[in-house]
Amino acid sequence: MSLPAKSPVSALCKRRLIAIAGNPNAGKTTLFNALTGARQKVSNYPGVTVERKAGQLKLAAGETVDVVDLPGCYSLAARSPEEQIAHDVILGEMPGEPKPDLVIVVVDASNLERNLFLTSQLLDLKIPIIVALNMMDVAREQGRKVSAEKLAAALGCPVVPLVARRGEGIHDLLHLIGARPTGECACGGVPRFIDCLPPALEPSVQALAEGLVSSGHAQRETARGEALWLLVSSLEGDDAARISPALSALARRVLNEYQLTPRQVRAIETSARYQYLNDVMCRGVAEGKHRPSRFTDRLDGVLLHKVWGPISFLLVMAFVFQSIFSWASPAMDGIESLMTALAALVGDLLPDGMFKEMLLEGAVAGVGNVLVFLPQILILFLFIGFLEDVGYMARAAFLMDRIMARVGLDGRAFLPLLSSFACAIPGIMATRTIAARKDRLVTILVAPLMSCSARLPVYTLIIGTVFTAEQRLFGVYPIGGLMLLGMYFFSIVAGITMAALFKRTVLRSPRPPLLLELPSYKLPSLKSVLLNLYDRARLFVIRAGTVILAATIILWALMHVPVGHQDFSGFEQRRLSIRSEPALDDAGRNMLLQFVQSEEDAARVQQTLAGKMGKLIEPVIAPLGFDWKIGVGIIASFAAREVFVSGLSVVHGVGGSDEETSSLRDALRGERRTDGSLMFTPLLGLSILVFFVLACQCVSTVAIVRRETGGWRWPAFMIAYMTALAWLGSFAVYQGGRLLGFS
Amino acid sequence: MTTIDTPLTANFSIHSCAVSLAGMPLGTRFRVIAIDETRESLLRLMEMGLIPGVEGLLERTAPLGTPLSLRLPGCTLAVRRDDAECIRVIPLDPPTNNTPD
Repeated sequence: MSLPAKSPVSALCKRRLIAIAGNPNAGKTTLFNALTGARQKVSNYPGVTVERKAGQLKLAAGETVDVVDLPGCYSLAARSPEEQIAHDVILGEMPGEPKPDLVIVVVDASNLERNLFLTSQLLDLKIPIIVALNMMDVAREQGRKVSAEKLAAALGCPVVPLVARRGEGIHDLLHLIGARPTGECACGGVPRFIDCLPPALEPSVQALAEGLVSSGHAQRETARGEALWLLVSSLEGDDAARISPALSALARRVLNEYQLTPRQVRAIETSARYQYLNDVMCRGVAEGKHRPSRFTDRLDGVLLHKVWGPISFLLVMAFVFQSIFSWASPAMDGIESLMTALAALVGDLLPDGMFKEMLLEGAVAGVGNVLVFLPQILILFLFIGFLEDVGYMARAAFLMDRIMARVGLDGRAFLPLLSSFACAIPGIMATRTIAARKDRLVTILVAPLMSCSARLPVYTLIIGTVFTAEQRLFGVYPIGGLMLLGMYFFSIVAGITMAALFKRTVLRSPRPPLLLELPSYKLPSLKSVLLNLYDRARLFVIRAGTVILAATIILWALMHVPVGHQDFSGFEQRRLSIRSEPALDDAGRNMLLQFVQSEEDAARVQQTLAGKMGKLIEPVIAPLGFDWKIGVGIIASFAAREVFVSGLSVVHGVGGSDEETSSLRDALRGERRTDGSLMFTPLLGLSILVFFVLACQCVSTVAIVRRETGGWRWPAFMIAYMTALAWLGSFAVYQGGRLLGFS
Repeated sequence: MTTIDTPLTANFSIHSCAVSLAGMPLGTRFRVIAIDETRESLLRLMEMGLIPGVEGLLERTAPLGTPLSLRLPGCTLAVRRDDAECIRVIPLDPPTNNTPD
């Protein structure tokens, strides 16, 4: 598995690949951004939710190299998807990914020993590495003098001092990359850890290494490194393990022979490696004792304080929530009016007809549906990037760990769930900060249960229809307001319950260990934050946007393309007679014409696929108290929940304009069932409300879940469970209410 | 248990003065003596630098009592209380009075 000496020809033919590895918070991404600039591509590793970031780097000599940013990890021992991927990519065992020619290990100079842990594991595998000794400035501020030369001499590999945030040292690093370092140990330094194992490990590692060589699984020079990795990695069958059965059997035999468990091997390895690193550090690598940051200490005294901590946390969260909830709306309104203007422009240019309507109400509206999410996404990720960079996200996880662990969730799930009250799309995108895959999935699955702002128009319409503003509870509280509050409360309860349920069933997993460092507070890097914003926005528009656009067009077609033939000439005749009626003034004529138009729309909707589907599903939704018209509204609202309002307007023949909800309200109040009783009773209203709290009526959410989980499996599961939940919830409310004597 | 000197022969009696980290008052300076290596979370914390022999300061607890924050040379780690119960330490000096509350 070692790198064969390359002939100049093959080196010229193939583009070199450089992998960037390192601990979380060591400045890996900052270095990656500094090297590749905006020439980045973000995708997912196959089958996992771990992101793959790749870019290109042009060297002075004219050579272009590919750069891939590995997930941050503390160790190569594969206990999580991140570590497994880092290991697989580095050793060239990742399907579809060539073995990197060079690994740059980003090391935080202010916390050298801990960061060298991973470095020495990489050195054991005898691959060419360059150590990027980052955050030299922080180390200096903390009173430590770190010597790159002495570290290079001790480790036997090139070391470049850097301040990646300010671009210092990047030039030297580029120069070194151009010089094509080999994996050869420049001896004279401390022997590698793998060559001086403690007695408790030596025999088992050597035995497995020989087994690997004789079975052809490894080459002699790298066999010991691979053997040690196999002994410590995932032999207890958890979902991160991707070791071939043959290798795993070999390793198990050796472990049995020496009566060791993988965890024992890991404990011994870890302790021994830190002792070994102590020897490395003793070679004059660093001078001076750590002086912890006074500023961080003072600030933590407030932000992690028993009383002020939670208060400041709530203030920060409220601020973030407020900003996505209200500050985004001017931008969203702007985008909407821009799309209206665009529609008007296109409308003037095109002849009337089905195609024009499709373009305007399907395609242009679909583009609008995509763009309208951008302000919220950008604002949320601006805050997340800022809070993460500053170091506050770690504190938030620290404060929330206990509460979220009760539900079975990660402390970092709080912000995504909170954001979902504004909109589930940015919320689901924000679950990236949750490291454990199953915890992240649970958070994604329950995020759409939080009452997003798109439900608000539905809530207001229904509550406004079945209650009047004068109705008060105990003569004080307006019932409408209480109902609205109740819906938000209900959505929180539903979310927590479902999270706890998933955590104990389909996504059962042990509570993930808390791997949380509380880094020193520091100024954020504007470039990183902005690049991240750009990435998120682009990914959303490209990956989720296409699905949303397609779905909007399909839903438009469902609502508008007639099925079968129906004669609508009666409406045209009525229009003609209104126009020729001399007794009417202009205003009266227009009112009548509008009335006819609404009736025609309602009649036409019945002849569309959506209308037929509404009739088709009527038996299914009848137990919830819904008729086919509400069914059409539900189908239409899959484009976005607020479309329920305009969908209902169309089927009830009150015109599609959103502003005139009062006329829709009156129309709904006038609706009667076939037996002559009132249709929109408070009980039916409650049933609809419960349905909308729980149902997954949002194609954009489905699109983003597909993008974030890398397949259709989880979005399909989400639609299924939420629809089932919504049906059951409404059923319980409606039928239960009837049993209790409400109508 | 992984201890300072004898990694595989765990024996608490030889560390009679070692106590659980969870029982220490805030502001205690300590040296880690032994860690329960059967807990996955503690193995992870070991990789992050919390190994037998290392010295640290029990800095704070979160408002709800867990996790705790430990200042080690070079970094500050969060450790849940139930994990801290499986870490044996010896206190290095009496707790100082200016503990963060």
